[in-house]
Amino acid sequence: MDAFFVSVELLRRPDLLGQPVVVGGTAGRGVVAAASYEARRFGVYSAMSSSHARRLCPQAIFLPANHSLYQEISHQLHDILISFTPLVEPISVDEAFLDVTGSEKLLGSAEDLAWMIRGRVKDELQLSCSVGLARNKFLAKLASDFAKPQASARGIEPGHQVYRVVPGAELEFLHPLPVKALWGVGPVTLKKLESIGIRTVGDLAALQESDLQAAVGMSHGSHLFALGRADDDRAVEPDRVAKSIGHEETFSVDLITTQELRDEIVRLSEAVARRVRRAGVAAGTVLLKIKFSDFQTITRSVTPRSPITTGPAFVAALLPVLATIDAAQGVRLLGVHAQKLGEPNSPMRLFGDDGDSVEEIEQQWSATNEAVDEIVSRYGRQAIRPASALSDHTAPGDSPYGPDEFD
Amino acid sequence: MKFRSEQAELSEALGALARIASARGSSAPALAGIRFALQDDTLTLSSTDLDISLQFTLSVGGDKNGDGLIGATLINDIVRSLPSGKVTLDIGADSANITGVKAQFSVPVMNAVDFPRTAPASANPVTMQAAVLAHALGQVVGAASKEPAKQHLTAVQLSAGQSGLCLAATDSYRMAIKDLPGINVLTFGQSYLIPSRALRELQRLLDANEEIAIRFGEIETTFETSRLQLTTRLINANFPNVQSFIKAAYANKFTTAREPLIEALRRSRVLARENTPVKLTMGANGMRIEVQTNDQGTSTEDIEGQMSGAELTAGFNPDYVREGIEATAGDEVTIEMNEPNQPAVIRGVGDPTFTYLLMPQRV
Repeated sequence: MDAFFVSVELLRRPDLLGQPVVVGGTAGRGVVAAASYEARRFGVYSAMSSSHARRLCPQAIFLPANHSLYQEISHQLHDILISFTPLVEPISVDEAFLDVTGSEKLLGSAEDLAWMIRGRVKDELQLSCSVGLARNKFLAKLASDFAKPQASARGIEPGHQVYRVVPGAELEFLHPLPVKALWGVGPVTLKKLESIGIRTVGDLAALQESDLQAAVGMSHGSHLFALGRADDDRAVEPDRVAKSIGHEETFSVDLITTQELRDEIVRLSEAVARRVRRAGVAAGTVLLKIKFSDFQTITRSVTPRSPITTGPAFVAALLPVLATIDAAQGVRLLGVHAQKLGEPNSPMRLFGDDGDSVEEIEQQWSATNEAVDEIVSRYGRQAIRPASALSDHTAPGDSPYGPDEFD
Repeated sequence: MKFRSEQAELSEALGALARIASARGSSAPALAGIRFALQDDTLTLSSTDLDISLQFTLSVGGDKNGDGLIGATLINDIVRSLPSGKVTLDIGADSANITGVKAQFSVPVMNAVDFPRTAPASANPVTMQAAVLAHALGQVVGAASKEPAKQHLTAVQLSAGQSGLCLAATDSYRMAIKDLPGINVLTFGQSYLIPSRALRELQRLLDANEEIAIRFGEIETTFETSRLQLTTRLINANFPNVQSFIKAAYANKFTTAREPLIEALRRSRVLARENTPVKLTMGANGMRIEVQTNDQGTSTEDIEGQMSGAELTAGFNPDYVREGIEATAGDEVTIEMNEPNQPAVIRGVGDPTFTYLLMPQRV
């Protein structure tokens, strides 16, 4: 999707069309979740601190993020995509891989399909997207980036909208690209590569595998070597299970009491647990992440006896950990993550054993959650939530302060 | 003190004593030892962790009377490692010499002052056949909880039922119940919760052809045979009302051969990891056993059997269901259920004395 969060917001605020708009970072601090192409002209990008963004583009309009809405539209998008092929692998809230090998005979060439998808997204969601076509996932992702509108200080280029990497011409497309376009080339790797004179993917492809491994390490080196030759044989996996599901939140004012931490953990747990259930999985491990005011970050994980899917069970698992945390110095960020995701099949008991174990809470709440999920799906997230989360005016995942993670 | 014994006999006793002794850390060092006491040709070996005390009486070739305490793990490892044949122990004030066929060890002796002297429960003994008790324990002990935090569920309940002794254990996911009609060691209304750890040990050590005497005390119970005496503290807690879980009749009943089912469940366990349920579909055409994992593949196996009632699919913890089938006696087993989310009842065909209740898992 093109500037997804911003485009969604602009549907509700058409008066802001054509203006630099930033989603996220509306409170005292926090980070940019998304920027319109107009804002990107000034060098504003997602994940940038909002204070930096304000300096670069003082006239930008900051809007609070509305993640529940984005999720909802993401589901609608998925429904559109799935009508073209069952082989849809979502990779984020607004990106997905489609394997259309089998659909071509039925519906037309891949390029025709791309334009049809674009048209339906435009018609049904009033949003625009860019489509990259190639013989593997890695190139398709690069092609879709290439197809997107490009913003620079000079202006906004509309982009190809649909871009196809012609079979046989993969390297001609790939090699002129800057090396940082490759997956797995972050700031550290980029620095290492630049230090040996690598700027484009073509430079990288000219190296021996062993030289590359010497520069960036064995496995990373062979990974990049393969990418440099456009080798990527991963299939589109429609049922790909997320490795973890989590929410993190940076607070506008530091939390200092255990009660505050507890309330936020309840809120985050509820949101994460709901996503865990929606994904049809259960959390084998729950992880609590805390960033203190001095930016020191700690993580603590808990593995209940059996996998859990309910907010109260998450909370019960994390409370003993919370008891060991001294919040007095101030907590800036909290994160709750569900990990080791597996089948949701916690065992049932013949009888309760009058303890308040995590498992037992899980079992007690399982039925209640089915009702809660039903209410939420009918009336929305604001309709029902934990009482301790009511003190806050935001719903889980609707924080204006910073990014929630979408895995 | 000094005596001669057979390696095999001594090793068996030391193994059991070491399991009791080493169970509790270093709060009292003497508890990590095994006490040796020789009177003429009678050797008494004892260890305790204060909850359970175990004492063996062995006939040996006595040489010099006396006593001494040796680290349990150490002496057990040494004697176990020796070749079979004669073993001589010579325990002095500071060190003990262990001489087996070809090998000799010399190890330090522990301070025995802190070793507790335990007396057996003073209640009057009741007796029953050791083989009967051992078999019954083998069927129920496995269902007891192994989580120390749920102490009352780590017990096996011995109670007087309508017709005799009743043994029951449960970890809340499953429950094993054994009736021993005609064994009237308890009077109606009496009930004791005995730690399953003690009973597991007892079951291993019982010989088939002997009598066992049981002294049910207020806070301790003692089991005694001619060569061993095991005293255990009782657990004082409420135990679920066992009979309330068993229904008089079940709507659906599947009958099949026991061994093939156990083998099929073992095979399914290859894919079914800890939390993956095994899905059993029972119908007129037999039973289908399926495992589906997220990322490790799937397995399917069909076995024969007869169904009365309607076809039924339910998921189970693969170990719990297999252990239940294994605990039944006889060549055939029945699995009875009313609904896929209500407890299943496993019994051996022709054996109404053993019942295994198992809660299904969602699949």
